[in-house]
Amino acid sequence: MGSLSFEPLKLERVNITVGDNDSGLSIKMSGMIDMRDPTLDILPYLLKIHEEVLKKSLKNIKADFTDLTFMNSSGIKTIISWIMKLNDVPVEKRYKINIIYNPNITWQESSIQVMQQLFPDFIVVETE
Amino acid sequence: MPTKSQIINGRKAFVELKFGPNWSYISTVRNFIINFLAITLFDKKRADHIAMAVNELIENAIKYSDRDGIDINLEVFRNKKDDTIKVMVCNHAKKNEVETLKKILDEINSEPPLEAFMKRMRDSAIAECKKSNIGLARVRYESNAKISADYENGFVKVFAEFAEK
Repeated sequence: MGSLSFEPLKLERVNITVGDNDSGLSIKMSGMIDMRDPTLDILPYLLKIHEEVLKKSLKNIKADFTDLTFMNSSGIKTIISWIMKLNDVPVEKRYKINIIYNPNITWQESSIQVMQQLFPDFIVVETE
Repeated sequence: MPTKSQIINGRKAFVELKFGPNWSYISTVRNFIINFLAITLFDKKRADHIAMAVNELIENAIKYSDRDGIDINLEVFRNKKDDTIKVMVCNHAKKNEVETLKKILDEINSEPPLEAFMKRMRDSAIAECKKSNIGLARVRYESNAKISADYENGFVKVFAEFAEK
């Protein structure tokens, strides 16, 4: 497995970094996603990662949300748009997203559980 | 001033804010509401839920307000008898937009909250779906709020009522 190299995405109130880990790749989001339209910056970045993960045939990636203190509904829409891209991928090429969340952050406790119920084949959630 | 202060259950709001329709104000308002309600209600989680709802309602007010430069009014009411909190966000809007909003609210309010939220999460990722209304469904599910809307003299008032936890 070759390593993936991504420049961090640094926006006014949120940073996204990408690194390698034992199981494949890890994405860490820190700050707040509360901009008007995160599909302009964040979604293209996530879709670039998606394409690279498919090229490298990775089967698992970690998405660490534990330092993401707030996400508006446009942010949720952005994350869902990324996850739903897996519908366009043949089953044998799909990867699983392991979301690490912080149950002490109110929005995560509720919204992330709902995402898992909606996409049980695509995401696994666990607390930090 | 576009609207008079509301009187609900014989009381004026215990928080009233008026601000321009500027996206960068939203997080400041959200943080103020969290901090204010956390010390008023002694319940950080409930304050977080209400502040999230306020955030979503103000975002909608800014996105769908049909006139630039007209202030948004936010009022928060507390009924100490049953410990309910009611939030009102008021902005200028076209009548037909408000009729559409009312239909959406009827739909969301008629569905189980979890199903309503999941349905709009799915819809939100469909490119053709410009207005998924995921924010309203989120407010209903996460904070168990009753949401309603009224229209008067060119202004829409959106109410969210939070029962005692």
